[in-house]
Formats: sequence, C-alpha cells, structure tokens
Amino acid sequence: MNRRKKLTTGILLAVSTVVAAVELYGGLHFYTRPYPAGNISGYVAWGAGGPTDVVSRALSVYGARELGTSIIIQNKTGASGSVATEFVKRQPADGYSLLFNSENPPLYKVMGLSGIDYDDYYPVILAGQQTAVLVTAADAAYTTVEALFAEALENPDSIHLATTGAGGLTSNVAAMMEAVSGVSFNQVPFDGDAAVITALLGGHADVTVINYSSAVDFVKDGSIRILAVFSGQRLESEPDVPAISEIYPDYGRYFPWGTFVGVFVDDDTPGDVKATLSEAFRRGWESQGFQTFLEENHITPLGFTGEEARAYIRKWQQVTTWILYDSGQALYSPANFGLERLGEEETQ
Amino acid sequence: MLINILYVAAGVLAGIYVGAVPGLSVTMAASLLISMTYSWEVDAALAVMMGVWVGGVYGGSRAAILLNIPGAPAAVATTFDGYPLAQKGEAGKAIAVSTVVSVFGGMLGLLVMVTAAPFISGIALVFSPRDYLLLLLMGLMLVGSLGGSSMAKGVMMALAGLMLGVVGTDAITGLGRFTLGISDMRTGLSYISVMIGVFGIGEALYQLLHRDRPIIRQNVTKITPPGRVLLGMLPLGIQSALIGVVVGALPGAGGDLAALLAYDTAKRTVKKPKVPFGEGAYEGVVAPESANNAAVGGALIPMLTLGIPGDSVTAIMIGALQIHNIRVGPMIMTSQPDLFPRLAVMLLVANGFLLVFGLTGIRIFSRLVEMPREILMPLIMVISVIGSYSISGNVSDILWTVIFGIIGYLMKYYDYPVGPLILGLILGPSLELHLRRALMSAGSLGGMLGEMVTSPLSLVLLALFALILVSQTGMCRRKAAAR
Amino acid sequence: MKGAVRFSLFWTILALLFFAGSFFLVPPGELTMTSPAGYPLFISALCLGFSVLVLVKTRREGRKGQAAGGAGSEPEEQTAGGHGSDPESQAAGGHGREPEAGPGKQVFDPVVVRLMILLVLYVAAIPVVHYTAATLMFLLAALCYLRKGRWKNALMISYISTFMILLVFKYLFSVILP
Repeated sequence: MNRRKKLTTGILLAVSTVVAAVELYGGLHFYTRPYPAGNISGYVAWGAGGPTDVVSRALSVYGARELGTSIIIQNKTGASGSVATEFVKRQPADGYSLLFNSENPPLYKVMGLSGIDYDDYYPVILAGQQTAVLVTAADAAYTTVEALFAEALENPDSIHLATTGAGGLTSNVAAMMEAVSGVSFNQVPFDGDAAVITALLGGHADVTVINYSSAVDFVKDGSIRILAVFSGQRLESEPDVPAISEIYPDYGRYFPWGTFVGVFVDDDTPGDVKATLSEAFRRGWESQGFQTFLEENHITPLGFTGEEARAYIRKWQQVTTWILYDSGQALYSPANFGLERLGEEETQ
Repeated sequence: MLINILYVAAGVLAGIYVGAVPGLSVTMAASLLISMTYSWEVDAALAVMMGVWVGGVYGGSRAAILLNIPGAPAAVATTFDGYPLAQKGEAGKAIAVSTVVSVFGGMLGLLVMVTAAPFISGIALVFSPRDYLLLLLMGLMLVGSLGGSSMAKGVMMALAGLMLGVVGTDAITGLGRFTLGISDMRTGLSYISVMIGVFGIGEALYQLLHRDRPIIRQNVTKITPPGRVLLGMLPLGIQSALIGVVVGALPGAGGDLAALLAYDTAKRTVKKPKVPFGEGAYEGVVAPESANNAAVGGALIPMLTLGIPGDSVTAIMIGALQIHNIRVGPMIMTSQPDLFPRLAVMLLVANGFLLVFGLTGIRIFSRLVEMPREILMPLIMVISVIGSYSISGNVSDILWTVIFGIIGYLMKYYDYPVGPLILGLILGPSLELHLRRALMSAGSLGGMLGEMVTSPLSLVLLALFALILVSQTGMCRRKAAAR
Repeated sequence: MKGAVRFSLFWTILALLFFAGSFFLVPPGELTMTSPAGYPLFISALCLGFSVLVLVKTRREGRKGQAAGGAGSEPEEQTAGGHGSDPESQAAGGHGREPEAGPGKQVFDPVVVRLMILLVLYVAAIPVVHYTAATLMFLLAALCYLRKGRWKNALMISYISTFMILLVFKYLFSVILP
C-alpha cells in the first residue's frame, strides 16, 4: 500500500505543479499582451435560459470569436437587473467585465432601484428590439382591444393582468395604457414570461402583455390570441392583428418602443478598449449566424453602438420614465434627472 | 447517435461529482455547457446536459451521506437519515441504496413522462398561486418531523429561516428589505451559501470539537444493495417517485421541494420502520432520492408539452435549444416530433449509466471520509468557502457562509435543529411570493380563502394540509406524553 | 447553561430586530399583507413569540440542571448515553438533553475558536491576496496547528489541495475564483 500511496502522491504533486505553472504563466502573460489578453467575464443580469440570457449568450459567442478570446458568461440576477449593473461597475474598468442587460436600467433612478444605470456605461452594441403584444387566452371573453378597454373602464381593477413585476415590460405597458386610455387592471406579478403565459393558459389571469417572440408559438397552436400590437404598424407575420395606434392614435407618439438587449462596458474604460469591443461586437452582430438567430426569434435587429446607441436609449428612457411617473409607478420625477418629456413634434 | 450515448455517459460521470461537491451546482454546470456547446450539435449539447443533470441530482446524496453536507439542495432531506447511517459505518450500503433508488425513481419519472405527459401538464397548468401556497405550506410542515427534541426550537428555527429569507430585494416591488444599504445584500442571503455554511463549516467545526472520538470505519465489503430490503421498500419508492414527478412538473418547483415532500410523506406513511426516522432508517434515504430523480422526468413534461421550464435546468435547456434556433413552445411536439423520443432515450441512457457509475467509486469515497479529521475538516472549510463563492459570485456571500458556519456550530452544540432553518430559507421566498400573488388575485384574505374552498384542486390541497396540521398536533401530544 | 441562554437570547433579539425593522419598510398607511412589509412583520412576530418561548424553556432547564447536578454552567454532565445520539442532534434534532458536554467539551473549545479565527482571516484575505495565496496560507496554518508541527506533510497537502481545487473549479468548470 505504501508504494501505491507514494505513486498517487507523486502524481498529484506533478499535476499540481503543472497547474501552478499554468497559473503563473497566465498571470504574467496577462500584463504583457494587448487587449484582450485573457478571458473576459460576461455578466447577464437575468436568469439562465430566459430571453435576455439567450440573446446575450448567442451574441457573446460571436463577439468572442471576433475578439479572439473567450467570454465566460455568468448570470447575476436580482432587483430587475440592478444587482448586475452595480456589480460590473464595481469591477476594474479594464474591459474584462462586460454587462449584458436589457431595457430596465434607464428606469432605475426614477424607480429608486439604484443610482447606477447606463449613464455609467458605454454601450458596446444594442443587439435587437422586440415588439410587445397584448394577449389573452384563446377562450377568453374579450376578442378585441375595444371590448377589453370598455370593460376595464366600466369596472376598474377588475380584470386580472399578469405582470412580470415592477419595471418589467408588462407593468410598463400597463402604465402606458393607463396614461393614454385611462384603463387600470388588477396587476398580479409572476416570475417572468413563462410564468405569465402559464397563468394565462391556466385561467389565473385574463390578459397580459409580452414580447411577440414569447407569444408566437402559443398563437400558432391556437391557445393564445393577440388583441393588438404595441407598434406603429402591423406585424408581418400577423396581418390580421391591429396595431394599437390604428385604433387609438394617441399611442403613436411613443413608438417605436420595445424591450432591447445590449452589451455594455464601464464608461471609464480606456477609449481604445472600447473601440476594440465595439468593432468586434459589431462584426459579430453582422454575421450571418447571428442575424439568422435574430430572425428566427422575431427580434428586430438594431446594431447601434456608441453615441447612436446612447441616443436610442435616451429616447426610450424619456418615453418610459414619464409614462411611469404619470401613472404613479415611479418614485421620483424624471425632471430630477434632467429628462424632458418627449415633445409631440418628435414623432418618427 | 452513438456518440451521444458517450456524451450522456460523460455527463453522468461529471454530474455525479459536480453534485457531490457542495458549491458546484448542476445549474451552474448546465449554463456553462450552453456556451461551450454552441458550436456542437444540439443533440450532443442536450445529451451532456441530461447526463450532468441526472448525475448531479444523485451526486448530492454522496456528500450528504458521508459528510452531512448536501452537495445540492435536493439532497438536504437525504442528510436526515443518510448521515446517521454513515455514523453507523453503513455508508457503503446507504450509497448503494441511494443509487438504486435514484435510478428507479428516474426510470419511473421517465415512464410517467412518456405515458402521461399531457395529462400531467394539464394538472400543472391548473395550479394557481394559492395552490402553490398550500403545497409549500405542506412542505413547511416537515418541520414537525424535524423538530426533534424540542418542537418549539424546531418551529422557531423554521420561522427564523422564513424570516431570513426576506433579506434582499422584494421581487414584486423591487424594494430592498433589510439590506443595510449594502449592495451585495440585495440578492439576499443565498440559501445555498447559508446551507454550505451551516452544513459544511458548522459540521467541520463541530467535528473538530469532538476530534478525539474514533473515526468510524465504513463497512465497504458488501456494496451490493440488499435485494430483499429494497424489494420491501418498493411501494415507498413508487410513492416517492410519483410525488417527485408531479412536483417536478410544476413550473417553478423542482427536486428540492419534491425530496422534502417525499420524505415527509414517508414519515407519515411508514408507521413502523426498523430504525426510527432520523436515526438511520433506509426509508429516509429511499424517499428523497427516488423523488428527486423522478422530478427530472417531471420537469421535462412542461418543457416538452408547453415549452415552459419545469425548473432551472430545463430553463437552460430551452435556452440552449433557442440558441440553436430551435423554437420551444407548445408546437414543439409537432415542429420537432422526434425531440421527445430523443430526450426520453437520453434520460433512459443516463439512468442506466447512473446505475453503473453510481455503484463505482463508493469505496474511494468512503475511504475519503476516513481521512484524519485534522486534514479533512480544513479541506471541507476551504471547499465550503470556495463553493459558496462559485455559486453566488459575491465575496460577501463567503462572509455569510462563515458567519452561518459559526451559527451552525452553535446550533449543533446547543441542540437546535438545523433542518428547519434551511427548510425555511428554501421555501420562504416562494411562499411569500405565492401568498401575495394569491391575495392580490383574490383581492383580500377572505377572497383567497373563499377561492380555496370553491376550487376543487385547492380544496383537495387544503384538506391534505389540514390533515397534516392535525396529525402534527397529535404527534406533539404523543411526544409530550412519552416524556 | 449560560451559553444556551445567551444563544437563545441571540435569536430573540434577531427576531425583535426584524420585527421592528418591518415597520419601517413601508409608509404607515400601506401596511397590508400584500405589501412588502406584511409578511416580514407577521413572520418575525411569530418568530419572536417562539423565541421567547424557547428562551423561557432554556432558562427553566438551566435551573433544573443546577438543582440536580450542581454544575450550573458548562461543562455539564451528560444525562443519558454518550455521544452516540449525535447524529440526531444534527439531523432530526436530538432527544431532550442538555447541550453536548463531556469532560472539557466547552462550546468555546480553544481548538475550535482558533479555527474560527483562522477562517475569518482566510475570508478577509481572499479579496486582498486572492484565492491561491489565501488558500495556501490558510491550509498551511490550519494543518500545522492541528497536526502539531508536521509541517512538511502539511505543506504537501496544502500545495496539492490548493492546486487540485484550482484545476477542478477554474479549468474544468470555468468558475471564476476570487
């Protein structure tokens, strides 16, 4: 037994030394090679397998290929994505920590969730935008938007709207509907898109608002019906479903509007690193593989980087924060943060 | 197709060890696999994931039995009787039983999935927030079985667990609660970090206190599971597996809850076990292990019939499919008609390999535990610390792990039951969410109670819950009389 | 018994803090069951109640122990059986016994305390010197202390363990180590 023990110990010692050597080598090398000299950590602000996560992982693969290194994805969920946003900001601004988040951060300040949002970041690229749709179960009583709204106006807070929680797509749109049409629902929060759909199918909620990509399969198999699309025009794949601004023109000034996913890096990162990241991710975004992915998942490609992206985010922020404030969902006024209302003349 | 079988095997093997090490979680491994397998074939990716999943759910029991540290939350219930068995030197037998039973549960879960998937998913859809609430409350009643010497201490610990689960960000309003202004606290006290702290570091410290006790030699000469014993527990195995499948099929509920409910049900249905529960009853290992592996099949049901994840691993699988541009939804059965059989075969193969791999390495593992305490305990402490960090990614979570390690040590010293605390932490957040949802939906407490008696499913669950509650007080009175 | 009472008091105070804190979570008028404050208030109130119950029981048992065995505080005499009932105390809770004791087994046994301190130092060191260095130092210190000076053996074990863990976690599973 003694000889075997010595042999095992010997092997273990050898392996350990190899590991130690690799570590040392990697550590030293890190400081001599240009960016990126090693693995990059990507932090997704939402749960694994969820819509933001799926898009982020797909994008990160193409981005990593163009960068010539690996992006290791970790999910860091919590507080509508503000946990990840604050976390990545705390990491060294050297370009080795990336944030993958969606459209929530612009709402953090007015919702009192966090003091850190996209103002502290540089947008490497915005991957895509989704369109929101108003849906009910196929056997629901309401078959048109008008019928739904009429009922909601007559009996406020009687219709159950399944939401994904504060600051989520559904509650934002609910605020929009209240601001424009004066309708209010009994909002019941669930854990994410899948749970919301389940609630609808099980009859635990009457209506909800979700991204078209989450709804499309259920529409195809006939278990869900779309009442309206929150956009200025109809969806190509759903020619019979009205765009809400056709029926209620007042919605028109908010569009185009929708959830989006993007990659961000600490704004204090050196300019050349930012440029490298943007170029690489832009190339990755343009690749056939990723574009196909976006198409298959019914996501409208965006592709904005840098200043273009900032402008896009700012417009979204202006629209949404004021909607939330007007409907009483926001803690603070957007005016406190230098955000003016979107003027009537700024329609697309 | 053949190569995928190898992938499944590799997955199972890796999964067993991922599950056995507290701090490496199956969910983590699965999310790692998505990115890694982007350039692979979809099937290969799914094969490995399935293997890791099946292996991991089982693997947690190894550390639970040998070290009293659940390698995965699904193995918490396995510590209750698994560890006492190890203390008697029967770890080898316990692991063997756990293996066989896990495979059995897994196969049964597969069978149900293949035959009754649409039926089960139909039931799963009917579950409303108040039904989940009742289910979770039933799970909480397990505290009655774990209270041990003092019911008061047991209940208090469960309430403490529920209370501590509040720390963090309220999921419904986004309000930070008890976060003391520290950003890292906003994710709350990760129950895994606390679990690793209490079970890992707490146990290590406690063992060091009793370092002069002789190390128990494990009997590893007869590792083949005792056939007759197992046959006798067949009904229990079936019962637990059924619980596992149904609970696993509920979106948002998985192996952890299934194992706890199965253990609780076992305690209530097996009236005269050879050894009392909690002191090394094999039934106490059979129930949770059968249930948590059956839950794998269960979780696949909503994924395959509705495109909705049954638990966190299926959520990742769906993500992986989407990355490969395979749409997952209710149409999945028609658009990808052979996905179901492919996954079923993978599950079958995985369980097969589990039987093979699960019965190997037992000797080595058992020997591991016979290491001198002065070496093993510091190593456990290091793994606990690192494991906690790897799960949460926060340095502050390591601090919590150590703090709860010390608290856990004190709890063990002063005879406070540890199980209820973890129970409360695991179930607490979901409990609160479902309670508030049910109230919001019904409009008031009266409304919710009204719905409970008018909806058939809720009524059944309510009746079960009341039954458990009543038998609890009965148990209480009997214990007091016995003293 | 003093330690047991103190520990029970710890839980009572904790529950009290949560209870008080719950009141400040939402503005006074909004304290309903569906608000973020309702559930914490309810649960912490229950917990407070039970923790007081436990506190009272613990003190009563302490006084009984004093009268019977004359020890009064740790270490206490074992009442029934040896350490054989240990498994229960961890798993399903033990029988109705006084806290673990035996000759010299105090709760703040010097070995345990020193390991606790080492642990805290280890955790504090990790953000500063990172995983490898911190783990090596911790293991070395712990092993040398526990094994009474067999430092060559300790060095080897620490070395192998640190890097094997590194291998598995970082290189195999791509876990980012601190």
